[in-house]
Amino acid sequence: MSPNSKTILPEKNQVRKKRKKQGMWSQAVVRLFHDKLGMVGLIGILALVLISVCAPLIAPFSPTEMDLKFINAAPSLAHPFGTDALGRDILSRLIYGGRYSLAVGFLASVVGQFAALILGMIAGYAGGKVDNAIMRTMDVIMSIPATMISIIVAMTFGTKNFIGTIVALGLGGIAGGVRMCRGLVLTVRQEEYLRAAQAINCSTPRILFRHVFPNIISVMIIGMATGIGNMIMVAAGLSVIGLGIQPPAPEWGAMLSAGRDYITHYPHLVIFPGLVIFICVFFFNLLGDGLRDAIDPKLRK
Amino acid sequence: MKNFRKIISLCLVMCMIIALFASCGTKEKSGTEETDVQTEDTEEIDENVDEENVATKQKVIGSEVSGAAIADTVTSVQRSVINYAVVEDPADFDPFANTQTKETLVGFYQPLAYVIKGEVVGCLMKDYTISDDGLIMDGELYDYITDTDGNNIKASDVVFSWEMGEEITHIGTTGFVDKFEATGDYTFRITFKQPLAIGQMDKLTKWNVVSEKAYSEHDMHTDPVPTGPYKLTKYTSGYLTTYEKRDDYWQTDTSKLVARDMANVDVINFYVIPESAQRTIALKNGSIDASVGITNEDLPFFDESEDFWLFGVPDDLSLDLIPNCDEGRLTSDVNLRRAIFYAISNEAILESVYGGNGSVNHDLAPNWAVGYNPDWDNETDNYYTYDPEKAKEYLAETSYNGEELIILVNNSPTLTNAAQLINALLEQVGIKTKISVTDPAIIKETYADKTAWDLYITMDATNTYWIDAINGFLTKDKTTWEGSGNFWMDPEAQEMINTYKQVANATPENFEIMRDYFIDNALCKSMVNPLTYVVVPSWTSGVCLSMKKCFTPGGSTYTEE
Amino acid sequence: MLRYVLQRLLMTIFVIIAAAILIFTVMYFVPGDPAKIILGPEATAADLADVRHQLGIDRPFLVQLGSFMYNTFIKFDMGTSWFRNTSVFGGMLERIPRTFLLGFLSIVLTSLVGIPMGVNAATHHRKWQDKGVISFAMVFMSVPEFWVALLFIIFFSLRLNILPSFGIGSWKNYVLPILSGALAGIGGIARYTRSCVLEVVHADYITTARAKGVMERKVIYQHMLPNALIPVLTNVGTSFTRCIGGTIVMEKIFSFPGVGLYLSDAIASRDYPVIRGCVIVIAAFTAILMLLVDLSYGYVDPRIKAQYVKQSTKKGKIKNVA
Repeated sequence: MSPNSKTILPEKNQVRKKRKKQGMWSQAVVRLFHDKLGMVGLIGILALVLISVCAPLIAPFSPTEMDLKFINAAPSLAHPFGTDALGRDILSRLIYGGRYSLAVGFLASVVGQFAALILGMIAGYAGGKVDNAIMRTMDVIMSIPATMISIIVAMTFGTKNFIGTIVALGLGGIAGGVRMCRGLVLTVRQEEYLRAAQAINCSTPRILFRHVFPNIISVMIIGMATGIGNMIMVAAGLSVIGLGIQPPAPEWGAMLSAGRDYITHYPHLVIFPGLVIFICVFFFNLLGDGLRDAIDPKLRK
Repeated sequence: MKNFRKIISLCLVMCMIIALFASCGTKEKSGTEETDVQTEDTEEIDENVDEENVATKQKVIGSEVSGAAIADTVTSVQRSVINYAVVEDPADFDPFANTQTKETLVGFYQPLAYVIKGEVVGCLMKDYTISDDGLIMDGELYDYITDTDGNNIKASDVVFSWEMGEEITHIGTTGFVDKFEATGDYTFRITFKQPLAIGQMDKLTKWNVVSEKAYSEHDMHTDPVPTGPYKLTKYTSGYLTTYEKRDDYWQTDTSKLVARDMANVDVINFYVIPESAQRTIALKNGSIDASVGITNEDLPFFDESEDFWLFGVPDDLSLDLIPNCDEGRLTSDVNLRRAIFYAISNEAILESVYGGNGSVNHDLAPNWAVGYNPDWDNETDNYYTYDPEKAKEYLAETSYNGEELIILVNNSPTLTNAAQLINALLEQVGIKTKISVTDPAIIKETYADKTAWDLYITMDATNTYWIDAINGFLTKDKTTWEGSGNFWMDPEAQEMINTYKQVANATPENFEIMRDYFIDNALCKSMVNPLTYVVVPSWTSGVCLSMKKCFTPGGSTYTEE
Repeated sequence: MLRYVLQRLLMTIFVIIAAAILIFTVMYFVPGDPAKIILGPEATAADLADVRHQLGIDRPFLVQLGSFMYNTFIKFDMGTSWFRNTSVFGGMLERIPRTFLLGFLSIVLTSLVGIPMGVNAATHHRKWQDKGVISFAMVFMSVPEFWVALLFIIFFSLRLNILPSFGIGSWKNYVLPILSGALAGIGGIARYTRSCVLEVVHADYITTARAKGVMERKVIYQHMLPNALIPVLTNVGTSFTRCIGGTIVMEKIFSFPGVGLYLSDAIASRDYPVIRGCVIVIAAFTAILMLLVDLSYGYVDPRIKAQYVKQSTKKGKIKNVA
């Protein structure tokens, strides 16, 4: 008899599973470290987050300081990215804006994924009428494009609402997420170890959270990584229509949208916020790819 | 490793290309002369706003063709086509629709008369007389007016148009008009409830006249039948509206033809371009010949260009800062209101938000209003003069303790810029504010809610008449409660205004009394009256502006075909 | 097969009706009183009540919903815009062709460029073509569409002056919007195509074909691509749903008077009939398109066909299953 075996069955299973889980995650992390592109993405994101958090230390000017002698000034040594219509330094505003944009992207993604997760798990696990009802509702919601759902929800909440914007963005892609979660739950349901758990009278929530959840969370994490990039872009789109975060908040999308009146003579107002959004989304996409390759090697090519 | 490098190099290349774009062609705005506001600086504002600077911002080659100019004195080459950019799609051509302020529709239909700088100039109306007691007005129409369908316009059509205007557009004359009836084929009589007050004549001449028969035969929302010199020939919704000159225009007596009713262009194309940057690009491209709504930052280019000239006139609107005078708000304390007003420099706002294009206001209406006393411009003892020290003194007398005041503003770029500047200026004297950017669709509703705001920044319509501007602000005619729009509940104000707006009482002395009342109670601070510019091509020799300061291509004069 | 079609058809109709009810309910609960918005706060209570009655918003919710559904689906009358006084249906009819053309050509361009890129990458796996395509795809996918649109406007309209930047006058007006709209999609399609083809590349029947001595060209075009491209084409088909609903921001940037601009103007002015009409049309279009995609997928993919043919043999008829 191995030193780890115990006479009571459930605990043995749990001990084994814990080891398996640890093994899975640490293996994934090791794989990620070896993936160069993924690491570029990860380091890029960490750098952006660090810059945003340390904004007061790094930014050369305050984001609200108006220097009326230099309105719409082109990039120069004093103002590396130029100034905007009220004389505020664009570089500083972009640095502080990172807080808004990254926060919005992250929170919206989290909200969206969790909502999809919960609905998907309920649908997949409960089955029958509940499943049917939820999936039909998702079909209906899916017939309206994600951007439009975000727009309608944002309109209901009003334009000044930070939380409203986050919920609106998060709910946009919910239909696809629920479908995927449900699919995963259905696949997992048939796994042997779930049947074993049921056989020993494991309660439903316990099954859901201890067995189903870890398998899904890996997919969720991948979804979140690419999702955040997408959220930031959709948030910028909402600002163009007038529904997202509005000035004077230095959010990247709001800055991009506010700059489009001036592109004829001052294109730098539009170029730099857009460039920053592009770089951020690019890093998130790299990270998402890297995570996907690391967590699920079956998908690797 | 190769992958890594490829991606990094790609990024670098893209950055370089973009930096190339950014660097070529951006202009650095040369530091404008005097005013300078930095939030961490306690520099004094230099009061020397150079008056001449304002005038030289418009290079005037031609001149304004006054709307009242009689045709004999205006000469022009007949132009074949002009392409003009407008901001909004007309969508609805109905003469009684609420959407009458669109550039495409101003001047399309014709009213009884035009009121130009206080003077009544007849359009469809040949003549009128007002009885001695001021209660009856008799008017006579030209008897040969025809619309594009060929219908002859009679007095019964005028009455019909008035009734429809009241019902659908709510022109607002039922308050003082008792009866409006046709007394003959081409004569009509209007009976008033009281003698005419200032500004009421304007209202009688602002609505459109169409033939009753034509209105019933055509759906004028999409198929208009006007009496004016142009007819609608093409309409692509959201994009293009085309007007063509009528060959059978009724007014053949050129001595009676007003500039606004002339047709110096054969074909006018109105292109709808909502984005201001694109209007500028279209002008530079040549897709458009003339345009309104060019941003202040783009104006200098057209100013210096050989192909265009700028025509600027004071806008019909002024930028106002309105405090909430309701009992439940902090701003109900008159000292706080005074402190706020003293802390705001009109010159700084003019300089930074409008680029110096306009003039500062020294009272609710700008100084070109009829009835404005020019001495008011030189007064330095009221809150129209920037004085942060006085602001702090008044602030000390209030119980203000650092609470945040709510600034209500709509989401237009100019107004949000102004709000941010005001936020910074108030911060300098220690008043904290929070900007609440609201949708234009619900902002009026929010304004009417006395718990939702403390300061309201808006572009308010000024008026041709000074006393009418005060009337519009204070009177309870526009509110459902017994007070002004900003909750100033004082019956004394109502009485004063009712007395002074009557023609007999509109004397300079009474105006002084009204102004003192207004300023003592710090009811509103009007900040800037901006110049609104029309960019016209260099082959336009004269610019004609009609109602709402809209460029009228037909009435303007040209030097090229 | 017929059963499949009918099933999907019913599903589509249900989805459209449910979407209409959903949007009506959501709009009902949006804050703001339409009468006040139209008349302004100066209106008297009597005027407000008048307008509310005219608009029919003083009736109970279910009555409004019922009459709305009846008008929209039986009479095809989606109401009149509150601010433009024109029929919503008429407005939609004018604008749908423009937006559809824009979206359609965008997707066609995306596919024409993206699919060959993906195939090329997959067939030259791990060589420079593959890495190049992956890098480009990644870059294109990360670029915000409207930023690219603005850059194009600056470059082509302003600096070079060869293309107009607004409106719908001629075919030239469509070039920039289509180009900027297609860019983001190219990356996605290229990657997806690449992974689909890669899945097939290592399949057994490909190895067999090569072992048999079939020409490489034939291997690619006759054996690999037809199988690999089925999911790709489904993806492209599904992306057509973004034709009408996905152009909102682009239309605003280009002042392109299509459905998207109609909708965003309506949102800005709180013009409820237009918002409802736009959303229903978009939902209907999406649902019908999904139906067509599903049906064509069922037709093209022999496995689904077989499923249904087998069922009919169970009923007693003996069919020749080819």
